[in-house]
Amino acid sequence: MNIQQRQDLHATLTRSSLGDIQRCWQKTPQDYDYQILRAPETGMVMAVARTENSGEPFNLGEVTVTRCALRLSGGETGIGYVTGRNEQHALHIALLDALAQIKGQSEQVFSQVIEPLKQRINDNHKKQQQETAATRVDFLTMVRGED
Amino acid sequence: MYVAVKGGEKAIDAAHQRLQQKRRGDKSERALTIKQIREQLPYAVDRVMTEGSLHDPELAALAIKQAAGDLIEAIFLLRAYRTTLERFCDSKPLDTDAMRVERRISAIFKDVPGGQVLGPTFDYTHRLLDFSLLEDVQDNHDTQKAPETENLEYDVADNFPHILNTMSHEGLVEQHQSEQVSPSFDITRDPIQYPTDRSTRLQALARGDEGFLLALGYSTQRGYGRTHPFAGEIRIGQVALSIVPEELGFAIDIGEISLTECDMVNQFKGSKTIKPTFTRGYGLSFGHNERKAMSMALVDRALRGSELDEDFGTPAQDEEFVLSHADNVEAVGFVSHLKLPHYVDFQSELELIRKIRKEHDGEQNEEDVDSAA
Repeated sequence: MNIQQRQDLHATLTRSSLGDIQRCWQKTPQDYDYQILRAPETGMVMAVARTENSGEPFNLGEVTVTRCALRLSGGETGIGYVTGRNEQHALHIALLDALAQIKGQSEQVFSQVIEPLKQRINDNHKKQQQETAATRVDFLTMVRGED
Repeated sequence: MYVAVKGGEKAIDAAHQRLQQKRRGDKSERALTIKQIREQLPYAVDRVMTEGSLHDPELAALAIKQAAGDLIEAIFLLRAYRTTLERFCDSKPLDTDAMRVERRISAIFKDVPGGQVLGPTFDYTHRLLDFSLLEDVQDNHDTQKAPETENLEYDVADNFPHILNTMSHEGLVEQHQSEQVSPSFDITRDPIQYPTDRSTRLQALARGDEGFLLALGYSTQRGYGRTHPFAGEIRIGQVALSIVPEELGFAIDIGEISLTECDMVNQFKGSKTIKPTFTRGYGLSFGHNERKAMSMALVDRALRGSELDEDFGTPAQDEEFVLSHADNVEAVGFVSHLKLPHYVDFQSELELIRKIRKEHDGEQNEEDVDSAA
């Protein structure tokens, strides 16, 4: 798994609900042998924005985030950071992150879990985009003054 | 000054029980669920997250339930909770250019790349009470439809460039560029020092009270520090939140958050050496919070008065006045403290006023004697 794939894995799993991940994966953390490096814990990330999206950075406010880190018996370490306070969600992400690093297992994680979830996310986004597009307007300027 | 008092525990316990009763209301009605609040009062949730300065829709909904719908109390609860959490790190700067747009409008150009999409809005509603919502049926769920998405007249845009950036190549609008990644000041860690920079002010305004900022923004429109604003662009949607975890050393997305952004374009400024340029005010908030983002942008622009060499003297231009009164949790604290026992204090005031009145009577008597003489 290269860096880009790993970013893809996190982008997909953090945008999916725990329920959806479990449905695709059909395994549970109990099925694996791993050692917890950092037990799931909830904290915050300060969301930083830029003035007008390009200028000086400023603190917008914090976001609850839950994180977890673990190591498989083979030595692969996985991490999970996800918005919200769901510890199982962070644990599932960390475990899948670790499993995808095992040589020969990455394809399975991607084909069985990541790709279907990505498809689901894309379908949802597409539906939302279409509903948004239905609200597109054309404002016609009325002539002001005489005539 | 107030003084400590003892006693009253039983009464206080009973009062809190009464509060729980009041919160729960008629017990023959089903209790509200957090999910219902989150799903069906989204604007309340978004306001509480924004001013509570913590993006967590579930906790904001919980706070609203616990506060029995008192939103400022809910904001207080969320603020108190956030102090119990560790901050892992800063996010990478959010990129609102890459927003998954739900709503995007401009009041300065009709035709903009990507188009104007209204999304969910109260604009153009007639503000007539909808009596059909009174009916306690499984709510017009069945009749409520999503917009028709077959045979759309327009292509579905997935890219909405910022409108004011499209004017930038001519240099008509001021552009702010920075390579800096982390803000240099954090008002949650250090007390504000005056004068402030714009980043500090934006942090304070982002968590500031919507009503207060709305009134101040309105005051600038009515002439108290006029800035001639136009709503250059308002966009609402989902933005990726990314961090660089210490374990990885490269960025990963950790979810999406909803944001409302307002880019105000204002009266131009120039000098003998600088060509006239439109200036800008910026507003950003969690969730769907258009009124707040617009008010914030108006006040942000007003507070740039000294930077832009403008006449000074109205409340909205006075950063110390604005920033020290914008936080409703602080304001509530100081106003509420008036309810604490001031018995001793008031006793001394009583004695003083009795004494002064007696002296006043004495002077009156002397004057009466004088005038009679």
